[in-house]
Amino acid sequence: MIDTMFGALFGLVSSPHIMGLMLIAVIFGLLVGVTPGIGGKLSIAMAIPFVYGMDMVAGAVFLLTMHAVNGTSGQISSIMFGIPGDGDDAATTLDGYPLAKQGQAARALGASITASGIGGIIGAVVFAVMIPILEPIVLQFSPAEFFLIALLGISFIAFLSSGDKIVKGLIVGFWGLMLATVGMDPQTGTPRYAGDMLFLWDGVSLVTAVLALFAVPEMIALGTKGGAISAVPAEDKNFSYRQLLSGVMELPRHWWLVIRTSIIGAVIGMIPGLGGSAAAWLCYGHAVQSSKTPERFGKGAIEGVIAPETASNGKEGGSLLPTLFFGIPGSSGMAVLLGAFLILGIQPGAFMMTDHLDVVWTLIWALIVGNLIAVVILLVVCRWVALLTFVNGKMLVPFILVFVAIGCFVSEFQWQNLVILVLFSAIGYAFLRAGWPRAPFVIGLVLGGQAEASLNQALQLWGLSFFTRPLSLVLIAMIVALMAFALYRNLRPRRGHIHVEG
Amino acid sequence: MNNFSTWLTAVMLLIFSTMVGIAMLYPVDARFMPFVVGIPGIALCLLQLGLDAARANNGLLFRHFQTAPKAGKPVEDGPAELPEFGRHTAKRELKMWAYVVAFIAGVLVLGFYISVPAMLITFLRREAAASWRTTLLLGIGATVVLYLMFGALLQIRLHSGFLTPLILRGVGL
Repeated sequence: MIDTMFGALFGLVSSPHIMGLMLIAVIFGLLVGVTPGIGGKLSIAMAIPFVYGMDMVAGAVFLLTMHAVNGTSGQISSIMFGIPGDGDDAATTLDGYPLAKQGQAARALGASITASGIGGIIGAVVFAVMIPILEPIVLQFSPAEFFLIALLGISFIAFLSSGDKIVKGLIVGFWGLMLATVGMDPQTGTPRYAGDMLFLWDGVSLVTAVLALFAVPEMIALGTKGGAISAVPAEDKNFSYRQLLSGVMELPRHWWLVIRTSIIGAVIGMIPGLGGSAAAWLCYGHAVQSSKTPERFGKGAIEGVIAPETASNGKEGGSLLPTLFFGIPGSSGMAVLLGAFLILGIQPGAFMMTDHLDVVWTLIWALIVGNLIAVVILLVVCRWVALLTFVNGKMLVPFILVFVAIGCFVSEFQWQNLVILVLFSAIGYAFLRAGWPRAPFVIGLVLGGQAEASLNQALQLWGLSFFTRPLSLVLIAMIVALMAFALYRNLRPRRGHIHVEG
Repeated sequence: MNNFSTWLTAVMLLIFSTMVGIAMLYPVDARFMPFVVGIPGIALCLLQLGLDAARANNGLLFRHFQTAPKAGKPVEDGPAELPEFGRHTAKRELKMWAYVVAFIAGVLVLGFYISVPAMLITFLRREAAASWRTTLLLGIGATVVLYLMFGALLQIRLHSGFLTPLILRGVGL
């Protein structure tokens, strides 16, 4: 394993092609992270078509790096202007913005950017440590367990939906499963729902479906709402690089908090459905509780900036674990990334450990190297990157539309996919407008085919008795427990709230 | 009751029912999975419609209680905040959809290299209120970059449209 581990690092850093792609991914990810209205999911969905046909490793490294550094720049507007880019950054605003108002924006930025980078790196290390622990379990899996793992993934749909949206989330997930049945039936060769339309015989294009469900609805919402933040001052006059460096030096001073919150973030990331917001708020609370002077929090405590940032980026490494080894995305962003991995030819599951461990290590190193590059770049340019917050969202809409249309066409070179794009986009936008979760769709579409294939294999091998295999029983118990917990969570009286991604 | 959400549930019910109905025409093995997925899908849609109806009834009861004589004057909470989407955004949403549909139709009929600059220039000028200089610079610049990246560098043939090749042949190009 040591050979594979360092071989992957050498392969990554010695390839100018991959390093160049990573640099582009970091720059693109940072810009997208700070631009209002363009979230991580939209940026991955838009980038998928451009990695189509790319080498599997290069494409996966590109997308993962972009996804990993997305949140690193999102905190800038939280600190400088008190405007969180998304739920993950809201906790950072509590102490980051008061620091900016005290003329210490650069110190807060230095601490938060470095904390985010280190959190991402520790998250990747936690993932790496988990590999030898999981290996013996994953290697015992047969088609029966793969089918049940797929079912387990689908039952996580319940987790991706919160509150009164649980049924809606399941409907969306089942619709994804339903669309996974479109195309040639593997058993009989019957073209299901395809008729004479040859372009549907291989199934619904995953790129088209992801773009339609995520990119087009977000783009229309951005065009409808605008997206520029214009009512806040454009620049902080007190910004200095000396202050920025003093912020960076806060990390060694609070090293134990950094390690604790990064590990908590990574562990939360491994639990599908609990997003970065849960990690950020939980670790903010932990920082307050463990502080000797909790009264400073909310007034500009630097620990209140460090804790949520390490946690929200630390979760990326953790959420990659269920995504790669079980095909169960740890978050909605990972759901889109999972779809992208499949398009690149990376089939999540036990094979990742047996046949593609080098790819796994390359992805872990990509998380580490990508975060390092992002921290260095962002520390230098954060002052100017912040100005992107003022870009009018409407200026971006037509370019996103062009990206989406080209991506949809280039993915399979079928003009019919453009028609499918419009039709599915209508449903995707209806989901967004009605506030229905959309991530379960990708899980359903991705896992549907895998579930059907594994079920057929398991039935041929053992008949219905495959349900009584010891590992199958464990997985069945997990599915039942998961569904029961989801029901309990939704039926019990609510005291606080933890944001659940969808 | 969120009417839009309820309508969406009804549409999903229709989609699931149609797909299950079509699956009945397939051989037993081929229709197994569509049934396994579609029938629970139908059940979930019906459950959601039931939940919506129950919530609507509760809401109606609550309103009756609020407006009953003993309840006194309704509480004044100040001006209500507008929801993210609603009647007030419908016109803008339709306009955005018109751009999407027109652009895709344009790509299908005229191809990427004609539809892209046309859409960029129209949108940037009319919706983003960009100056003519910025609009033309971005519109034409983006199309040139598109050609250089896909046509020249990657050698990818983007869809040229159904009509454009005929017109080009007609004029002898």
